[in-house]
Amino acid sequence: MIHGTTLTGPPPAADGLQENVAADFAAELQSFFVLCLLSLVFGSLALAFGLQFILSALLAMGQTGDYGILLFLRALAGWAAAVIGFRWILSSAKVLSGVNRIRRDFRALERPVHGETVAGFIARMMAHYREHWKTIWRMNLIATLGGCLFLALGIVNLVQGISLGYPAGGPDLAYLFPFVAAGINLAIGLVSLLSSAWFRSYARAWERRLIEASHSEEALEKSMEQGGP
Amino acid sequence: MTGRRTPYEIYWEILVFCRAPRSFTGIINRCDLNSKTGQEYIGFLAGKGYLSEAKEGERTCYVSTPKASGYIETFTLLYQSLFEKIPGFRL
Repeated sequence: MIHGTTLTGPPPAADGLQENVAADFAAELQSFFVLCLLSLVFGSLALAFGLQFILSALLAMGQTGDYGILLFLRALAGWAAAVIGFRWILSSAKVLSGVNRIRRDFRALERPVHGETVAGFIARMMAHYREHWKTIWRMNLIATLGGCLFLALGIVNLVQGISLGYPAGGPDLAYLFPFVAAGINLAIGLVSLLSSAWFRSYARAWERRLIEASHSEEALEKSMEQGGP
Repeated sequence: MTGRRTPYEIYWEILVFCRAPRSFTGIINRCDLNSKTGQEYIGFLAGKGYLSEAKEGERTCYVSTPKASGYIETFTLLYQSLFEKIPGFRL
């Protein structure tokens, strides 16, 4: 036996406006997913490069018996890169797992997606942002630090290459290697700084939405009072 | 939906889920609530007249009333407008 009249029937059909919102939401979700993946790749690269720097510095110390400040600084930079890379991977994986679940569920929906379902997913992303905002801001900071570190490594590679001097018999592999490494490090550094800007842009959009949603709560409270018994 | 939600998001989720009659256990499982908070939310919505009790054999179920449709619609429009008003993030 049912007490009172029930609200039955399917949710309202999708219209053009709802389809636009659904398309915008899907595009943003995809962009953030790619950004998290990119961040995971950069974290792995930072860790790998850091370890490589530490090992090469240690090997050079062992082979040449030189324990000078330059090799020590190189090992220290490698250690910093490895720590940043490790934190980068952990933060990216944490955010990525939540985004991936939402993305997978959204992709599994039948099209067209109706407004109520989209609103549910927006609320879900909002809950995800509230839960992970500190991690996302940390990722922005780590990406900035990582970017600066890669740029610094690239500059060190350039200095190394220039200090070797142009070989008499023409450029060989040993001469070209520091320049290739410099190119890779500088490119990763620049893209990493760019990804930091993307993280800031994502966080700002959600901060604005959270502020807007908190203003909306007044309307929801009013709606609840008006609809009350 | 998990993570940090506002009470309004939880009300909306319960009301949409209860379009069809749902048991208390079904609601708290779906909306990821514990028994105590689930009881509080359902009690609040029932007290406001947004949820009504329905008996299905021995089981007590909850179902959204027509009063809930205004709240559901307001919530849906407000949350959709967050994506219309604020430019989305793109790579």
